[in-house]
Amino acid sequence: MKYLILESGIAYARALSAAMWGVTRPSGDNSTKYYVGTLQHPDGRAALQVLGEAIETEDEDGNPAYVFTESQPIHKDCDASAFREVIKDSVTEAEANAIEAGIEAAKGGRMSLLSVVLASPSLSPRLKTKEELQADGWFPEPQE
Amino acid sequence: MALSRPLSRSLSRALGRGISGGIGLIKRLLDLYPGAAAAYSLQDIGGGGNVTRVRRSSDNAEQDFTAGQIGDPLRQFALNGDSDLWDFASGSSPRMYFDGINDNVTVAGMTAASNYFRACTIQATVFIPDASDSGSVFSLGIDCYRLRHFSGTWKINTTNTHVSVTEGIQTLAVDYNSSGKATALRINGATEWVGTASAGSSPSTLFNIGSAGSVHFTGLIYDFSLSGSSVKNFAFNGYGNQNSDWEDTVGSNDGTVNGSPALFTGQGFDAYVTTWYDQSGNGNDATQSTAASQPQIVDSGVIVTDDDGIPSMDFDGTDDGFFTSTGLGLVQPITAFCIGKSTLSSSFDPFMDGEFGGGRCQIGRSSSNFQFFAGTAQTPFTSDDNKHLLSCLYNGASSSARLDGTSSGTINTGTGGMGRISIGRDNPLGGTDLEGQVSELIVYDSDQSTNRDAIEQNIANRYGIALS
Repeated sequence: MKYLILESGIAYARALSAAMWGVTRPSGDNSTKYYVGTLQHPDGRAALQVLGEAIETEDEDGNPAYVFTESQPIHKDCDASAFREVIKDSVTEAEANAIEAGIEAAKGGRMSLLSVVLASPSLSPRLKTKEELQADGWFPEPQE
Repeated sequence: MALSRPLSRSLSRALGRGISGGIGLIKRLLDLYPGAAAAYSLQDIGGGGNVTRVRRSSDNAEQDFTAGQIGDPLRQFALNGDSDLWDFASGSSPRMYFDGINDNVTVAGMTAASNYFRACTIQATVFIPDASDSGSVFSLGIDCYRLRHFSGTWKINTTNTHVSVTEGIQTLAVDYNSSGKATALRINGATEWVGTASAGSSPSTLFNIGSAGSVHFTGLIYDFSLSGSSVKNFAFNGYGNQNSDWEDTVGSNDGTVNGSPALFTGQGFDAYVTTWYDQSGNGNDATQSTAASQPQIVDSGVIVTDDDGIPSMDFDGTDDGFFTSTGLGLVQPITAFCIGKSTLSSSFDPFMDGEFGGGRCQIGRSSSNFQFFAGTAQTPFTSDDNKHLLSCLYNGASSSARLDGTSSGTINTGTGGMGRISIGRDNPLGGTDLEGQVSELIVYDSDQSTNRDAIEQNIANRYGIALS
């Protein structure tokens, strides 16, 4: 698991997690409201969990390809534009358009947030490991 | 009038109530010892209604469950309520689960020619749990008489049909011509693709079911047939994971099971707890609204259990946990009872905790001890990875902890109260997290010294713990 650092704070991180849940379960009829967890740094930055790993492999033609160990169900009736409205604050317009189109194409199937992050020049540099977050003071010291 | 044991047991089950070894109906723990501020269990310890709300992984639907439904009804829910999958998973109609790693069935004695079978139809019923996965349903060698899915579309021989893969049970059929080229793909009897898909260049003497080269299939394959060939025909029921389940029903080309395939129990179907209902009657439900942080109660179609086979839930050691939505505002004396198991994911594994700054009575496991804390940490017992009954009377300098009935004697855990209850995490804001299980947690806003022995015996009886 990795973490996506967001400069906009914990409220935005939770909104993004809620938007992720919205594309998986758009009816919002249940007690689950967020797809992944969020973290808050003492300096106000927030982070969003990015599940799974990208495993490098080859497609059947021998070209480099990635297999993502975690993927998110994309509901056939989800509103991709609603997700775009949230993610657009973190990416360029072109990237937001591509992400929206990707969700549209994945309706009824699955999609990996990690694949979205890795494909987005605005997001990929913000992807950090837990060890990097620990070194940067994200996790409070265990308390008795 | 005393009831016979079988009658009392059946009545007890009908009422959703626990039963002990004695004769007659045994009251539930909270009936006998009422007044808990919060009480969480997968058993009915007094609430009588739903004990948990569960989200299934397949479509993220949620449903409430009573204690009596934590079994087959919950498994069926996790399996989408699909009657066919339930027949397979429950064992009434077993199927071999292809693991996507090294499981397959091979049929030897073919000739390594790309048009070996000549014109034929190859048909199989499959269950695909994840359409985004890749896998090969069948092939002669690596790329002849091949059907596989890759990146969400069906590919036949070396050609992408661009037909989308859908999840679930479906019957697939591919027609091949005398040159070994595929000419049609049918799914559930409907023609989805027609064309010409050339055979590859790597046939072999082995026909594979569930693989092509290194690409293996994940899911179920059964009711397999190769028919209409002028060279060789074969068919398999595939109703199991033994060679005897893959004997040719139309000839003598028996299949050989390779790898270490398990029978299907619901692999690919999980379920997670969103709410652990408070059975005390005070409405202090413990919830987790983030999907990725919900403890797991069904793993690959099977109910999560503790070391003794009693239903429980797994906390992942990363971020799983529950919290009450509001603080309970408890002040000492407070008595807490917990059935927990920790495999220690970090320097501290909390079973029960509270919110920083909001009052914290804590039971957890540190590196080598079980810890009890309400402002002052006490570590009276050496820890291990086993399931235990841990209890603590939080009462300042007159506190006492117990591990499976063994008392710490008088200790001072501090004078803290209890705000929000946290289960499996040491703080709603994040921190250290339990890798292990919590099966039951009961918190009394009172000194339960008088009832403590009896309460612990009640809990120990239900969880198979020998008190010392």
